[in-house]
Amino acid sequence: MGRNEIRLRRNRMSSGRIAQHRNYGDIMARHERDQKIRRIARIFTYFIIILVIILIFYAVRVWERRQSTSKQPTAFVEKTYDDGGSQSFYSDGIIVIAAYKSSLSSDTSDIR
Amino acid sequence: MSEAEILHEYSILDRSKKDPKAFGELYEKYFDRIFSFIYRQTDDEDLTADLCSQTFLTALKNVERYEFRGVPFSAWLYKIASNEVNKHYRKKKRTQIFSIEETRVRELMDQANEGYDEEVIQRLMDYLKELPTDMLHVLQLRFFEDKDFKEIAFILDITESGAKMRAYRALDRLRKNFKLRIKYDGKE
Repeated sequence: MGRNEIRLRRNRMSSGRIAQHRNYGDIMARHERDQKIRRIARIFTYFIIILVIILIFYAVRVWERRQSTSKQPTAFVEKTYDDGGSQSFYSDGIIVIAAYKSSLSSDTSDIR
Repeated sequence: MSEAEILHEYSILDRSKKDPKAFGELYEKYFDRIFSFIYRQTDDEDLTADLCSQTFLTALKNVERYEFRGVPFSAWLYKIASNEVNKHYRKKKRTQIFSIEETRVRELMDQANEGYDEEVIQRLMDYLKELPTDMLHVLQLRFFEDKDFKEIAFILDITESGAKMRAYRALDRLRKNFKLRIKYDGKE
């Protein structure tokens, strides 16, 4: 078999027969449908882009807020109780040492 | 094509950008030619109708991007049609079909002073079968669609000299086989 398939036709196709396939209404309908799909796709793309921008903006705000709270100066507080116990912690609530005099000498498991 | 006709087509294209219904005039004008062009490359009426619709739909979709490049608007349609046909063959992975009209072959043979009989036709078919597809495309556009080389170059996305070269090579082989006196530009 050759590179191409060559066929010989007796006659040209008549214009009447070609006209049977002519249908501009169908082309218009398909075009309008395509345009509608394209418009919806465009709106969806814009929506996604806006959503991503809002999420990035929100993430940056949260990150900034966290940065500012972590930079606040913290005071080291040491409390001594009447029963001999003591507790050391930063002002932001992180307990460093909590121990009782009685347990300091023998048991250190209470130290947190 | 006269300058007035080109300007008229331009005004239709301008209107089509805002109102797709205006494109209908160009559809009516070129439908037969594009249909025949595709049919020659498929030999299947239903497939041709599909590809033809797709061609005009693609043209309508891209009408906003159309720019004048020194060739008539019809060349742009032929280019889209040619791409649609190529896309179809790539997808189906089939051998390209060329369905040519006996009447047109007879006309060309008469022009070239070559006798027309079954044996000559058979030899011609065998010759065309072995011809590279890109050369066949050039011959089809030149001798069956009556396109000039500038248009052929635009349609096939090659240079004008490249189009001439392909036609020249194809006809050179044809001349050797058939003792034709036809020149690559179609004149004797």
